[in-house]
Amino acid sequence: MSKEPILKVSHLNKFFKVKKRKLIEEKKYVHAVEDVSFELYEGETLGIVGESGSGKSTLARTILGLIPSSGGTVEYKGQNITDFKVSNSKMLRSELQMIFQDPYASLNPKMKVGSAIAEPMLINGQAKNKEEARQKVKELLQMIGLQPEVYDRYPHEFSGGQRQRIGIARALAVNPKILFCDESVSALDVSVQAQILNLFNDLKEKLHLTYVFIGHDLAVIRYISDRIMVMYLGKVMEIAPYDEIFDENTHPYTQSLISAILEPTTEPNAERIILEGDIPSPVNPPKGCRFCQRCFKAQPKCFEEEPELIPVSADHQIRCHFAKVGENK
Amino acid sequence: MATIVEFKDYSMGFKDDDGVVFNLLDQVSFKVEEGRALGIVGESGCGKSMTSLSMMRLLPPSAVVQGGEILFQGRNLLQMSDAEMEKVRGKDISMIFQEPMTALNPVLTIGFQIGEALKIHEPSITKEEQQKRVVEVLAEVGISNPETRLNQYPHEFSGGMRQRVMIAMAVINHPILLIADEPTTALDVTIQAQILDIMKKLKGTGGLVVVTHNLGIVADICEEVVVMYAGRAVERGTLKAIFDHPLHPYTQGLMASIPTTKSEKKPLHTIPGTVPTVFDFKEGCRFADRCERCTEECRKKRPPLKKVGDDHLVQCFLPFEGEEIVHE
Repeated sequence: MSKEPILKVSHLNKFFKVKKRKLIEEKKYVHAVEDVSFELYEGETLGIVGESGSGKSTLARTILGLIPSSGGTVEYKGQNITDFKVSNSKMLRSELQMIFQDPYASLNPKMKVGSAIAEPMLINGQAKNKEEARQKVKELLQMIGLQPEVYDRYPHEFSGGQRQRIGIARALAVNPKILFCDESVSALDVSVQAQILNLFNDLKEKLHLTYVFIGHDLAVIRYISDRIMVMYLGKVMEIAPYDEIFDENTHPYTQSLISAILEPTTEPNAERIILEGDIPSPVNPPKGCRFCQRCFKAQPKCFEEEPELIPVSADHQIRCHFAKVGENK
Repeated sequence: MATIVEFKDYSMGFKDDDGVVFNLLDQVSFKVEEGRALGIVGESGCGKSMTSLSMMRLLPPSAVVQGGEILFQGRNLLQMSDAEMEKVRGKDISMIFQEPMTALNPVLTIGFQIGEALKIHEPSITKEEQQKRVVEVLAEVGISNPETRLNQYPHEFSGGMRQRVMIAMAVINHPILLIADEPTTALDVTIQAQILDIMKKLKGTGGLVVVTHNLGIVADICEEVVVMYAGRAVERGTLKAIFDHPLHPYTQGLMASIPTTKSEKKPLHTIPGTVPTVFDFKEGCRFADRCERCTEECRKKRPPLKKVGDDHLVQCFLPFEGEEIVHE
């Protein structure tokens, strides 16, 4: 891991306007992503976890410029690439790629999978002509564990796991440096999920990739990630190395997520923390700490004052009034 | 302990447009005892949902029952008339469906939809009594302000709340057998924990069948497990037997391929290939193509059912210590 961050996100915001229902009404916004800052280092995997509605996917889409940001900056290798309003955006876009959640919905059913993978190559100039593209696609298919003969088949002829492999191949077609994987293994069966997770790790080593891995299954995220970022209602609650996330000194929200993991063992579970209620509306987020309404440790202070991200050790930050500084190993 | 439901060599399949029948469930046998929870686990396409729909007699029109019996308190569900079945369905046997978003009617209030389940089985019930029972059951599944919420429509509820409504609808008649088909798949982990907590409280009165692909859920609420693969119950027994000493290569592979909170950062165990579809099922062991320990014999004949220990059955040719062949 190098010390210079490959991607630096500073105070990134994304608000969506809420449609007015009356003529005279205060403008309201959905606070989807608010004040998110993190650094991504070359060769690492950053896992992002949180419940649905916590802004994980919106964050990835805003970084990639798929939706315009509402504030803050994104720097890639020292260059400001916020919203991709830069002259070399085409080249940059090919270096930051996304693998989507639903392999069924993200492939064109009328397009042969080979052509679907070759298209970005031709557009971005990774291949000069169709012949060269065909050759490169076949190499790529072999690398991700499919037969080169599948080039001329259509998406419906593949199973879920194979389609996810095709989605990965299409993202890899333009030689990316950073891959954003949005719930890329959530829709897969257990035995296939393990195959794809292993594939991600192999590719990372072979192609020197950096991953941002979004998911809701903390056991999977812990397995694949070097560092884990926990989000709640658009804000970062905690960033920690994977082996510190199960320690005592973590955010109460992280603790409740961990306690909700169902392990396939017959060992008795520790007392489960069951959170009350649902994630609140991001239109009117709570005044104090975002998590105060559901927190089992909440004190009056939490409802009044929003905590800052407090560094508790070298690469561990917690947004909680009760985080203990300097107690981690 | 009384047996609530028992599958005896039940087989079913699907017929295509030409009337050719493709077998899916092949001689599935298991039973659910009173006060116990059975988990049916398997990957997509293994027939676990068809097993639960068979108990409700809600199979799609193209399904064909090929043999066997489903005994509910000693009566064969497969031989009941439609009128008899209507009396059982929703009263003695009820089901929590997979997707609360699609299973609820968007233009009717929650109160009406839950009350309907009650009214059908107790036509003489008064309006006041019906309302009272609905409020009670909503409170039981953890919905606050049930009196006001019962006049609301499904879109006013969050995913977890809709799932609670589904549970309320299923338990209002105090069923003897409750079937939950992937009850928490669409939910967040924190909401999943809430729902499982409710289901644990409801369990114990009758039998519970939980159909899921998540082994963690089974470990959490079930006492007995049936592992299904491609329409066959490849292994069954108590939770402890299956989870601590899995015998079938498929069960072993499945357990090893799940990342846990303690797994090391080395490659995960994988089962090569994918689950076969109903059109590719072969005469021999259906797992043979993906099995590391497959022999010639596995591809030719269906594996025998063996009893290993007191509460553990496995369908495999591999030799196990202390095995006893139940049937070939």
